[in-house]
Amino acid sequence: MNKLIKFFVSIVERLGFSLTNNLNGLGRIIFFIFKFFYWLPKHPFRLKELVSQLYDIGNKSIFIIALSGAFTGMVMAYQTYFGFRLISVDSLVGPVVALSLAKELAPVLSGLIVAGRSGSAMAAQIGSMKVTEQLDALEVMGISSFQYLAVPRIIAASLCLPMLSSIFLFIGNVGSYFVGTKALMIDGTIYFSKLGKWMFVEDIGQGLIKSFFFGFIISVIGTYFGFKVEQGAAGVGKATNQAVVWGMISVLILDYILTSFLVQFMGG
Amino acid sequence: MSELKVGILALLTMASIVYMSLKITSFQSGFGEYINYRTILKDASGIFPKTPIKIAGITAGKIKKIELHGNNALVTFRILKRIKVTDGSNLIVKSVGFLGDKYLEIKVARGKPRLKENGFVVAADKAGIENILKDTSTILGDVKDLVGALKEGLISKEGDSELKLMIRNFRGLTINAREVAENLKDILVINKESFGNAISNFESLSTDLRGSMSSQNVENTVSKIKNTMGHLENLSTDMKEIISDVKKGKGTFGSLLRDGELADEVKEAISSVNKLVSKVDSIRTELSLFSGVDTTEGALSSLKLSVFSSPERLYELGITTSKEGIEKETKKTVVTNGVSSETVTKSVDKNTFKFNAMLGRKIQNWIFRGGVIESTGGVGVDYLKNDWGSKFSMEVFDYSESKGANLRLSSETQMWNVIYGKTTLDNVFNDGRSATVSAGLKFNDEDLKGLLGFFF
Amino acid sequence: MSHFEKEEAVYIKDLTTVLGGQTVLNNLSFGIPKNKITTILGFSGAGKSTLLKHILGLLKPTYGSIFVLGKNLNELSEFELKKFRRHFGMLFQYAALFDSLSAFENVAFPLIEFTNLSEDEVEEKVYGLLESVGINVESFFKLPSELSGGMRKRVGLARALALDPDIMLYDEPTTGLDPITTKMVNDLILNTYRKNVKRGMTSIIISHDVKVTLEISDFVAFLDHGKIVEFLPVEDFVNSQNKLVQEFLAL
Repeated sequence: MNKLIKFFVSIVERLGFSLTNNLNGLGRIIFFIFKFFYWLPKHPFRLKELVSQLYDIGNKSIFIIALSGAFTGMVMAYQTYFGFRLISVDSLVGPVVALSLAKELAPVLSGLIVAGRSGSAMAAQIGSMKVTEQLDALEVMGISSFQYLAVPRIIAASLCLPMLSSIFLFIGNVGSYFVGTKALMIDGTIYFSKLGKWMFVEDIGQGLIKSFFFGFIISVIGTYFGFKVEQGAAGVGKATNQAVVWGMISVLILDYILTSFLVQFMGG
Repeated sequence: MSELKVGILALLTMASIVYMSLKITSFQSGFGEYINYRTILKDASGIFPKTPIKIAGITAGKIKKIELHGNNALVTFRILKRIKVTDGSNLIVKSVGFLGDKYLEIKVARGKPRLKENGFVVAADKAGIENILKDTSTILGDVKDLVGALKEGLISKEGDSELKLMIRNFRGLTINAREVAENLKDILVINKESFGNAISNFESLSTDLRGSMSSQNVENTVSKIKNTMGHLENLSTDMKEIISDVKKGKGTFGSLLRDGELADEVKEAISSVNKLVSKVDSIRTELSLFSGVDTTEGALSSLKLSVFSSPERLYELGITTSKEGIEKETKKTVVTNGVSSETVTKSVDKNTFKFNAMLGRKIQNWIFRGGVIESTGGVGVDYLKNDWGSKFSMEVFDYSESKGANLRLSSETQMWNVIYGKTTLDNVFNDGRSATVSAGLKFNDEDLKGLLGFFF
Repeated sequence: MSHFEKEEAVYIKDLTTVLGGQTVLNNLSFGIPKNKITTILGFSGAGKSTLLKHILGLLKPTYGSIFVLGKNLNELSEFELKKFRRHFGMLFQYAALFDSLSAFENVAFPLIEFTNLSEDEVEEKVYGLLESVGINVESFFKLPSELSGGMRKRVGLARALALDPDIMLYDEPTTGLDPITTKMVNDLILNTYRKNVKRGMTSIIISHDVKVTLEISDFVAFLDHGKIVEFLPVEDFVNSQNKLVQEFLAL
């Protein structure tokens, strides 16, 4: 009987432990974000680092973003077409695909891609610098390792993600248009006229706002786990893994939160 | 070099956004200057800002806003300046398409002067009725056709029309129904006779119908129908009888309904359940989750469950994370060469949890509580200022000989819906003074019920 | 400030630090003299690295104070502390070079960061520094991954010397190295010291290597479990009567 009680107590303990651990982690990340805003306006501004990061996160991702965008747009066109055809609204394929891309798919999918690519890269870079004492070397020289490494990355990701998301969106629509008009035989003019009827510029705007926040949270998480690394190479691997997983989870959760805000304040 | 590439990327994305935006807007109401007009609608359902306004079927503007004006809707909209909207023009609400989207159509009155800005365009109700009539006549026309077809089906000589087949099937159905009814009879009523009558009337009804189908004579048909009516009347009389029997308590079901004792028992059971439910209902719970920053310890989180078993009695349980636990003393006795010496070490566990468990009493806007606060004994007082959505608290706990007691002051405010903010001042009179700012969520049972209801 | 505080590069008074419930440094009081090579010796876990972090201001003591070059580190704000670190140069155990930058760029880094020298002046200085530590021109633009361990240490030293520091710190410079490289590093430290004697530079070595200690130090401080057991000029240290020291020297 005693054993049974102990067993239950240990389960509750573990639950409580993981709950408070995660809450603690959340608190530490919020701390981290405060630290970012603290360092943001301080000299020196590290423009060279910023540009280099913009290049790494932005330009180097163009290929995979464009590829994913194209195929997403094409698949969406296909899938919506067959359903819509049943009730004779196949001319709505254009706007439906464009709206889904603009409001959800482009920001979220680009966010997930960048979380995988750049989120992990950030954690790995900073983590291995920590393990090889390079962060200490910076501190000893009187340079804040946080300002030198984290701030440029966070700014760069927040700026890059809207850009990448627009490219995803644009190429996705191009793909959808081609599949629609060449393979599915939807009339080109009708495609665009329906598009104009149902879609507004604000929809693109909403997607861009979302991707800005996604870029921010991905880079915060990537750099956070990088700075947190301990125990050598194994630690770097673990941090990289965590950065990707939590980066992706945060993108999805943030997506929900932002969508509900945007729907309330910008009227869906 | 890479700066150049980054710049190009930025330019490309801006260009793509501009291009897409142009593509979207080029098919919308077009560029140009607009003039605002207004109208009053009795029913604005399905009409929203940005709903298009069409003139002669072409989009000429959009609705800007809709406000309540007395009991009607005041709609403000804008039309392209280059389209002349005249005094005396009419406005109709129309719907289009499979999804029933609504838009407004303006019928411009010819030969009249231009309507001034913010002038009213009359929403034509009359036109509405006309439309209905127009629609009705179309419908009537359809009905006529249908009736003609029916007649043909009923009276034709050639072969079996679909209608006849249907009737035949209907007959088969009634036979089955009769069998079922036989069984039902025993359960429902004692009065087999009335029921039997009802069924046979039903049967004769269908026979009559069939009869009228095969007859060549229209007149015959009519008299058959009259007969059928007669049967129907009988049927309804029978039904009436059955129902009154049941009401009187005849038959098993009827007796069940009328049994006074049974009814009483059921009533009692229901009222006990009611009492229990209302008791449970009156228990109020609150779950709160806070996370914050502290000037000394860093981050802190806390979880608290409060249960009000009655409006004045309060039980509270909670956990707080803590970077430093409570000071523990461990005594070690070491024996060396037959001489025993004691070492006392004071240690503090890091990264532990602290527990709260308290009983409390609520008197008007004050709550007095006591018990375990942060794993040490303590008491507390809260003052609730409900119109501000705030709570002010003072707690005394963690008394140790060296440091004295921890006097803690805190204030908690509702910021929005379930989000609360809290500031706390610890150790007000001691050296280790610290302040905490935290934000958190508080759920009361309504919220929890909603959450649970969602899952179950 | 007393006479001692002014005269010594680093003056430590009643320094005690408790980390994670353990007393890592226990009531240390001593001074490191200027312009000399002082070695802080001790077994692993004696508290040497922690002491080093205190000297750099990366850790704050629980009790006590540290004066570096006459300034009380406790009284400096974070900002002033960062500026103050320009007076230090540090050679890490594994050189800690920035692996995405070439040898040249590594050494140029502090110069670009903290001075207003023109590109040519920077180039001149870097070339001079790298040559003085014995790196050939061919290796100037190689990445750290392309250099040998010994060469990396040299580049690390060059980088540490870039800003003409007043205090040069060596963290376990010869630990884990083969005898030949050990000698090379020893000579480097000595040469660096000699070249900078005129300008005035204090060298502090953290080590648990006896050979290094005896060969090049002027002063030795022996640390055990967070306490200074012995602090003497090297000649006297060798003859110390302290049991722990004798054990150590016998290894």
